[in-house]
Amino acid sequence: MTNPATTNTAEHSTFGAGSTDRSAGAPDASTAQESGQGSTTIADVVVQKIAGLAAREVPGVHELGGGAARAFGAVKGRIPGASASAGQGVSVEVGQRQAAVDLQMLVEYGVAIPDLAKDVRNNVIDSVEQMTGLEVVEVNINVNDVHLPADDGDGADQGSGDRVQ
Amino acid sequence: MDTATVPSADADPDTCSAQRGRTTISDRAVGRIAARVLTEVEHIGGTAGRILGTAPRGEGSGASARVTAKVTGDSVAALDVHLSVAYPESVARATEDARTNLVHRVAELTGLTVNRVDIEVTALRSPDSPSRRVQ
Repeated sequence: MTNPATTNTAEHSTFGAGSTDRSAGAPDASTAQESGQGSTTIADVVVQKIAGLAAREVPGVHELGGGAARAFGAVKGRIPGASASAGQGVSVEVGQRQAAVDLQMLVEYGVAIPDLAKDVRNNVIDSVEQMTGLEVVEVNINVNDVHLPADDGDGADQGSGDRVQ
Repeated sequence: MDTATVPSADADPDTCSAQRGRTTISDRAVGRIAARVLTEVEHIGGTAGRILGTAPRGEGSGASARVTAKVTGDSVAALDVHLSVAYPESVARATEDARTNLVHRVAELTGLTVNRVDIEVTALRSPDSPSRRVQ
């Protein structure tokens, strides 16, 4: 854990480039936890993926992402060997010891959204805090659409996105 | 009616995380939920697309009611509804039924308080037009 302080900067710069635009403004895209014998840094995308997977685990969450991100993800999911990104619909802000998460969600019709939001928030906070040690200050959730049972024309392949990983 | 405000202001003892972050629901999501709720109400039908006052595809073309929702201040929603009523039914009773259902179910599903439901009855569906089976 406290091992190599020589975190290769090349890898981080590629991570930083691939992550959300919010991190672009931050002076350091990754976080550092000093322990005297070296530092552990956690890149934004790590938090983004953990949060995305944790949110998807909650029953009632159909998909993450805004309309454009979902459409792009669906296309990407059809390409063999490629899969929709786990971080889709998640934007994060990672500091030295704290993180903030914003989620865009598509929920199933029939679930009570306040309850669902609470479950998602708890699960995201637990997962991120447990895996990264960062304190999650807030998880803002925006429900941008609902998935109706009648929408299931192409629901089969969308659902497979939840299964993998 | 449960008026649990969406920004999780409810004092939930088991989660201190309830304060961490806000929940917002888009107008589109509320509108679609409301349109779906209307399909569960009896004698209420969808509104057909109209061109110059006529419905080219017929009144009973299976379209769902058109709902425009506006969420203000994170916890209050206003609905603007266009729907049709099955012909021999009382329009007043059917729309009142629809309004009650909308207020109740949308509040239940989204946690928002519905403070206004404006209903415009665009058509009376004749009894021989196919009743909606799905949606």
